[in-house]
Amino acid sequence: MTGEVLAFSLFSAMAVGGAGLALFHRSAIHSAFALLASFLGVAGLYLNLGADFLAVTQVLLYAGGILVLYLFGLMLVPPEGEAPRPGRRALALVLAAAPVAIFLIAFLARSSWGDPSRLPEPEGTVRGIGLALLTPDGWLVPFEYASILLLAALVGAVHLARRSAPKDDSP
Amino acid sequence: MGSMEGDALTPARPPKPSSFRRWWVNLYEGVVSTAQGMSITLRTFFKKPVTVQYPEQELELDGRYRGIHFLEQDLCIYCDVCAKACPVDCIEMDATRHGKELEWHVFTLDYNRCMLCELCVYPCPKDCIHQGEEYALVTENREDMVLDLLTWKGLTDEQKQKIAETEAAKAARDAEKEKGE
Amino acid sequence: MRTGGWHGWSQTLADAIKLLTKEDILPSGADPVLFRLAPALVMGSALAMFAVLPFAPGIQFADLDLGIYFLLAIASLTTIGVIMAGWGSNNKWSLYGAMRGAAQAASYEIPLALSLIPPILHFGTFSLLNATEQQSGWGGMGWYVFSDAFWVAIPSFFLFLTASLAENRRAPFDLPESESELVAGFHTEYSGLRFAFFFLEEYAAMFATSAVATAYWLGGWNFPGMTLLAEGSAWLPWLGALAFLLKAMFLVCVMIWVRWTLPRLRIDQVMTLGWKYLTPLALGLMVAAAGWEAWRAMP
Repeated sequence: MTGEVLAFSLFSAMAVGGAGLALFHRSAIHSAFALLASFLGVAGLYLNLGADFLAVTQVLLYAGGILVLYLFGLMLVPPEGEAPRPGRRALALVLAAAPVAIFLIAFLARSSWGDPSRLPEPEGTVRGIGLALLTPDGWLVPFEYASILLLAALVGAVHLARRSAPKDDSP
Repeated sequence: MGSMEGDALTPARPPKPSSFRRWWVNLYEGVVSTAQGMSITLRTFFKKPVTVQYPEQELELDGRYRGIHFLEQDLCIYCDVCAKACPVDCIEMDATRHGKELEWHVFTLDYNRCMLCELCVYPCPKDCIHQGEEYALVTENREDMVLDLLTWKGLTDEQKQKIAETEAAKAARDAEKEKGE
Repeated sequence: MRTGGWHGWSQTLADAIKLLTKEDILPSGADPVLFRLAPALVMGSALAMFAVLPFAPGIQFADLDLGIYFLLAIASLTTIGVIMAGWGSNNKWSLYGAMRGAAQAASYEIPLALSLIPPILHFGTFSLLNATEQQSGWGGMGWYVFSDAFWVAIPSFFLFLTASLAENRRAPFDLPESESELVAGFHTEYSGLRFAFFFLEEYAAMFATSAVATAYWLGGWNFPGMTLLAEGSAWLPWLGALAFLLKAMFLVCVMIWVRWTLPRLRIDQVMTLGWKYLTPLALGLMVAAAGWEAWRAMP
C-alpha cells in the first residue's frame, strides 16, 4: 500500500514536473528532455495501474521514437527562438487549461473511490490486448479501420515528401 | 514500366536496368562481398601474428639500415666534409692540430635535426663515419638528443708520446742545424 | 601479451582504475545538467536490459511477460542519452555525432523490431524465458534456427544481427563516433568515468543484443547433451549459464569480427541500407513467418 503510494507520488511528480518544465522552460531542447521525464512518469503510472503493455509501449513509442524525432527536428532549428510574449501566453494558458481543470475537478468530486487493497494482482495484459484487438468478436473491425487510416496518412506523407511526382511513369 | 521504350508522347530514353532487378543484385553483392571479407579476416585471425613484442624482441635489421652514427675516430682527419654535406647542419666538430696528431674537443651530432639521410657518409674521404643499426632515439629531454660521437677527448697517451717524439726529433734537428751554423 | 601478466589480463583492471581516477572535466559552455545526466541515462538503460535476460534455468532477474518488448523500449532510451550527450557537450563534433546517432537509431529500430517478429510468432511469446524453454527439444538442439521454420529463422537472425550492430553504433555503423572525422562523436568531451560509461554501455548493449539473439534463435541455455543430466540436476544451471554465455560471447565476437572487416559506411549508405534493404526484407520475413505459422497452426 505505502509502496504504491510512494510509486504513485514519484511517477506523478515526474509526469507533472516534466510537463511543467516542458511548457515553461525557455530552451526548446530542455523542454524536449523534460518531456522525457514526463513520458517516463506516465509510463510509471501505467505500470502502477497494472497496464504493463501500455507502459512499455509508452516508453518505446513516445520516449524512444517520437521524442527522438522531436530532438532531431529541434537540432535543425536555430538555438534561440523568438521570445514569447508573456501576457498573451498566460492568457492562452488559462483559456486552454480552465475547461480541462473544471472537468477534472467535477470528475474527481463525483467519482467514488474503491478500496485499492481489494484490487486483483496485476498480470500480463499482452494476451488480453491481442485477443481483444485481433478476434472478430473483439475490436477487430475498429482496429483495422485505424490501420487503414494510418496507412492512408503514411501514403499521403510519402506523396508530399516526394521531390516531384513522376508524370509519365505513374500507372 | 510500359512507357520505358518510348512512344509518340514520351521520347525514347536509354534503357536503364530495372530498379527492382538492381535491388536484388545489390543485395546479393552486399551479402557475398561481406561474406568474402569476413572469410579473409577469419583466415588472417588464425595466422601467426607478425607483431614483434618490441623491448623483449627486436626485428632483424638489414645491413643497410640507417640508424645512429658511429665514428672511427682514429681514422678521422677533421676535414669537416661531412658537416658541410649535412643538409640540416647537425654535425659539429672541433679539434686542435699538433702536427699530424689531432686533439679532439667536440664531435657531436644533433638528432633533434638529423633525418638519418646518410649524406654525411658518402663524401667522407677516409670512410670513417657510418650509420649503425641502433635506432632507439628516446630521451627525456632535448639536450640528450645531441649525441657525442667521440670515443676519447683530448690526447691519448700514444698521441702524447708521438707528439713528444716529433717534438724531440724537431728539437734534435734544430740543435743539429744550430751546430752546423 | 607483454605487460600485465598472462596475456595481459590485468590490463583491463588497470584501465578501469585509470578511468576511475582520471579528472572529470565539465567543458566551459557545456550544459551542466544534460552533460552529467547523459552518461547516467545511457548506462542505466544498458544495465536495465540485463534484467530480462534468461541466463540459465532459475538465473534471471525478472521473467517479464513482456521480456523482449521491454528490452527494445529500454534500448531505445540510449538514443536519447546519445542526443543529450551530443547537445550538452557544446561541441560541433558531438552535435554531428548525436544527430547521426538519432537518425540511425530511429531508422534501425524498425528492422530490429521487425526481425524479432518471426521468433515471437513461432514461440507465441514476448518472454525470453518461455521462448528458451520451448527450444529444449531434440536433446537440447531444438533451437529456432534448426526448427521447421529455419528458412525464416536464419535470414531473420542475420537481419537482427545487422540491425543490432547499427542500434549499438558498432562498425560499420559507428558514424556517431567516427573517430576519423568527428574525433569521438557524441562523447568527444567526456573524460574519466563518464567516458567509461559510454564505452561500457556500448559493450553491455552488444552483450544484451547478443543474448537476445541467443535466447530467441540459438536456443538460449539449451545445449546438446543436456538430457543426459538428471532431472533437476544441480549442474544444469551452471552448465546452462555456461552455454548461454558462450553463445552470447560468440555473437559478441562476431560483432567484433565485423568491425575488423568492414569499413565505415557513409550516412546516406546507412540510411539506404536501413530503409531500402533491411526494412523491406524484415517486412517480407514477417509476412513469410506469419504465413508459415498460420499454415502450421491449421487443423
